[in-house]
Amino acid sequence: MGRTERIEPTTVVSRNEEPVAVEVDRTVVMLSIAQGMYYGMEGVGRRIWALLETPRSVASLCDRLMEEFEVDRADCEADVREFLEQLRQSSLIRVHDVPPDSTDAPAGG
Amino acid sequence: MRTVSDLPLPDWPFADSDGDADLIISRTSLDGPPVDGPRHTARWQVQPGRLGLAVQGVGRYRVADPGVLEVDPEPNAAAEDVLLYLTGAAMSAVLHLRGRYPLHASAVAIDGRAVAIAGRSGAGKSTLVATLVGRGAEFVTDDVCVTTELSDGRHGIWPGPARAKLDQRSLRAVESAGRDLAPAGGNRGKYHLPLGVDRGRPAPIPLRGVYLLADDEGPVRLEVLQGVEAVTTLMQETYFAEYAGALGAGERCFRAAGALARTVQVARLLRPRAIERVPELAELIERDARRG
Repeated sequence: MGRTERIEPTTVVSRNEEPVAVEVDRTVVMLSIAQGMYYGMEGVGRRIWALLETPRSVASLCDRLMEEFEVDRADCEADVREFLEQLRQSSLIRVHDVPPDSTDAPAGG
Repeated sequence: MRTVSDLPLPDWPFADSDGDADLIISRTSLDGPPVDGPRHTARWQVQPGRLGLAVQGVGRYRVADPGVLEVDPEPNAAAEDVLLYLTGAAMSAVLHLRGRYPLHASAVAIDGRAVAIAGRSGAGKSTLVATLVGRGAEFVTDDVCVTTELSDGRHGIWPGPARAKLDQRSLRAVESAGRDLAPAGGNRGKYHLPLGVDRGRPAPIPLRGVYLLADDEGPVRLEVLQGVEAVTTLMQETYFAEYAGALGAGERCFRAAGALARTVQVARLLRPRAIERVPELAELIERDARRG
């Protein structure tokens, strides 16, 4: 907690272990037991959540999104960074300074 | 869930006399601080894997093992009161600990498929179910729907005891007032209205949809829920949802609610709270259940 650095194109993000997510009617529905809150994501948000199954940089997320949606890099990065910022504030993702080593995950966020 | 019990469980569809049971209901001595207040004042303590419940004038209950429900009735307790909390609050803990997903809903089957009626206590679930049965639906369960995944990926619900709990006003509405009915326990003045038949060997019935009774002054109508709303509605209607999280079953319930929302229709049934409108609700549910 207390990490306030900006999310940059090179920033790597990953899903938090919390929340629990289920997919219903083309919506990802998430429950954060720790916060007692539900979240829902549709459309591009749902796609971003799916892509975050493995940790990725913002730039790599945008590479994929630009293949799938008609958007230029500047707009995509701006929107994705804003969206990820919301997810971070809801503790749904973790932001890594360096690419996480898959065999040695950072202890807590 | 085959059950062996020290206490008689009238109408319980899963009672079994042999010792090879899934659940043992054991009459035993349970200690704890006294509960102050009028009869039916309840105090419960829930922690991961464990429920303790004490009800003034009724008795104490403990579930510390998903295979054993312990009960210690007070000497002068009414048998129906002891059973009310045993098959309600205490059984909900057993279900949550066993990974079953129970909904606070009553159900009937229409053309072989179950429709569950959810809503807060006093919303009229049992009255609507008794009305549907009077119009030809098959009774499935009252107050709690224990859901299960069927082998074909659909979800089903288990039949419950062949009776519903109704108060005098509701009994009049379903033309069953004046009958000699057994009290259902508790302090809401409800009676057991026999409904349906004892099935002998119960089997789950495929679930078509869940209807949540919601207050509204407009015309009686359905509002089908999607995504987040469908899942959160089911979570809110989880049987003893307040226990599930503390028992450590919150995540399991959420996954089950998600799976259910994917396979059955979840809808709000908007209606004014007027008992004379119940036949109209029954008609709407019948129409919706027979559609597609």
